[in-house]
Amino acid sequence: MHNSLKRVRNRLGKTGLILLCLLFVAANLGFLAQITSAASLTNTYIRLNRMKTGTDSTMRVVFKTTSTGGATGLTIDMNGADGGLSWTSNSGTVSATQAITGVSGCDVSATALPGGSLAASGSGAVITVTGVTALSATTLYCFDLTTANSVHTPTSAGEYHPVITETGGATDSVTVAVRVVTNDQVTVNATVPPTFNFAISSCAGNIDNFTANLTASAVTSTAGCVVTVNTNALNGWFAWAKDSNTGLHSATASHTVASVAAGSQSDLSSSTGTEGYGLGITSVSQGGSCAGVCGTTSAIAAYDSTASGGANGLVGGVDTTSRLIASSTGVANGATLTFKERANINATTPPANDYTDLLTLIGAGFF
Amino acid sequence: MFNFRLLAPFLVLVNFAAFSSSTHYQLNNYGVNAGGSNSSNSSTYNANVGAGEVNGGASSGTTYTTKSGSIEAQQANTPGAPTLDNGSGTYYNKLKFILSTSSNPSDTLYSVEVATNSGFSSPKYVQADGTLGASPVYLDYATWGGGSGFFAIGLTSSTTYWFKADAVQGLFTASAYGPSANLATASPALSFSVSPSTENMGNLTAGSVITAPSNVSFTFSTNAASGGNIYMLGSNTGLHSANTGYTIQVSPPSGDLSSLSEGFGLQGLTASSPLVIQSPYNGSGSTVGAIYTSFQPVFSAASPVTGGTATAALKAKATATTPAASDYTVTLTFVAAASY
Repeated sequence: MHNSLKRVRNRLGKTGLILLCLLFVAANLGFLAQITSAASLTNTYIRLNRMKTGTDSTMRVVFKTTSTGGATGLTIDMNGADGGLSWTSNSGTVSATQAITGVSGCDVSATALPGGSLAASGSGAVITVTGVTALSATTLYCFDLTTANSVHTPTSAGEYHPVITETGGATDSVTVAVRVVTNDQVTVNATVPPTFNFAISSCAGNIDNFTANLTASAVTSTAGCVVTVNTNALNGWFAWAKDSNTGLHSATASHTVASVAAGSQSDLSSSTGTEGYGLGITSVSQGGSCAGVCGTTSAIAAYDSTASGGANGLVGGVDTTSRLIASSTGVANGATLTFKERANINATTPPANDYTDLLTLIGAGFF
Repeated sequence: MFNFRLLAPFLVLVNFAAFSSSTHYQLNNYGVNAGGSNSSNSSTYNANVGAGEVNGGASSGTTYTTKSGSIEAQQANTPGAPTLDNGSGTYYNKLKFILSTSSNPSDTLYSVEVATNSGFSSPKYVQADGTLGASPVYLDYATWGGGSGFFAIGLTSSTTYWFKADAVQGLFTASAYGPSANLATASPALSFSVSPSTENMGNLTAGSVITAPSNVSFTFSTNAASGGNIYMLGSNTGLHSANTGYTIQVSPPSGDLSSLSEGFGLQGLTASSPLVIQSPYNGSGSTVGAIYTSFQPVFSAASPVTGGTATAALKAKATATTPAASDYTVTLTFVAAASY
């Protein structure tokens, strides 16, 4: 072999030999270039997660390698090279800082772009992805560029043609189209109008008679009425009560069985034989389910006579001022309050059959 | 001038420098060959032998190629320029070619040479699967798609390609490549729009399914071979009130508002072919798809879309205990992507 080369060198001379070598190298480079020539990636999309002009956007990239695997990186040139609109010339930008995540699926059963040291960066119009584990041939890959301003869309609406190019062991590429539009969002507005319903029931004609004659020996109660509340007031609701006489008043006897101290609770059971009058909430029901979380309905302490199932002598005093008797912390679906009036008389309480009081109960949603 | 040309293992053509001519013609090349045997062959060769024939003197123009001599006259006719088609400017990664057989018999095989320059430097050849490769592949006219043509695939967008074909029939030498035709691939294309930008649904009366006053309308076109998708993403999973912290929504993936106490979602109404409405947005009646805070395809196509349109409705229902508020809102972002 050495002798052969020497003979060739002698014939061609040193310059000729160099030229021959160069021709050999060039020929082989040409051969290599031909067999590794780039092809077009397929099944490729870039999804700008905001298409609106002049807007920061993250993006998703999906591509399918050709029969040539081995790529260890990618570039995405947002400017493209086919004479389409220029990303950067229309004020589009690419962030220098890029966060990248391989994602599987991506609507096309793609494989997450592999790479233990997967990284991305931007410069000019180009995003460069590095640290990719050598890609397999004819495989779909997907990754997200998750930096909020991974790209900033151009201020001019139109079609842009980024080019995705493999780097490393393969140099296949594809030009895709992305569209920048003037609007990519629909804002939907709606109102849920406030509702509040407060109904008194279970006492015919809203007349709540005492179940027996008042006596000096025991607490006497009315049969009771029920207030039902429905509301979508998020913060709940309130119920108030006042009366017209600050007690049970008899016009014929010109006497009033006075209410206990308004806004305060008294136990008439412990003061039988002494005049007293008031209102008590004997039971509370939270009602049915709610769209969200129902509020919790409770009686105000002064009027809470739910103890012992309501079988007690507890009352709160009423007067001509609306006194808060119950409240709820949220929406109500048929929450109920059962309230009763209770009274004590003494032995000298003037007899009459027209002792009466007019209670006014009101409620309000707390929206 | 004296030259010779090896036509077959046993045949040498000898040409002489004296050429005849007149005012009407000039014989550029001729030769008188030595005698020979008839065609012969073995397991390793085939010979087709002629004697006394005129040497092949090829000449060609943009629309023809001639070969003289009895041997070369037995070659297949040189194919004419292929007919190229870029799908009316929509094929960005492929071109269709229809071979011109030039009256060759049906068992004639053809190869198709492709280049990005008229001089066919660095040529490639269409392979049986349509990709371009380094070596020619010979297939008959029917296999190359006949009159319907055949796609050369994996091409680069916005690039002009030149195509030409040669032909070979039986064991004879292939013809020269015929005249070329050229055509450019299209640019990748994608257009998209969504409107309106605002939908005011008004009061959501408890118990009633309320439909937004206007449908959401989309346009979508692309020449992407694998079609594309229109995606939707919500800023919330439904109509959200910041004041109340409450969200009106349906549980994924979908819900029928006629039977649910409340909810909000989107229902695809129409999609022009090849667009289709994706699940869970393909319900009917009052069935709506849920709103996700990650992109979900609402409409999709698996092939190029020309003049695509689609519509969708937004539907909501509140119950008596849906917290009251006037600030229920959601921003739906719609984006489109095409798969090239």
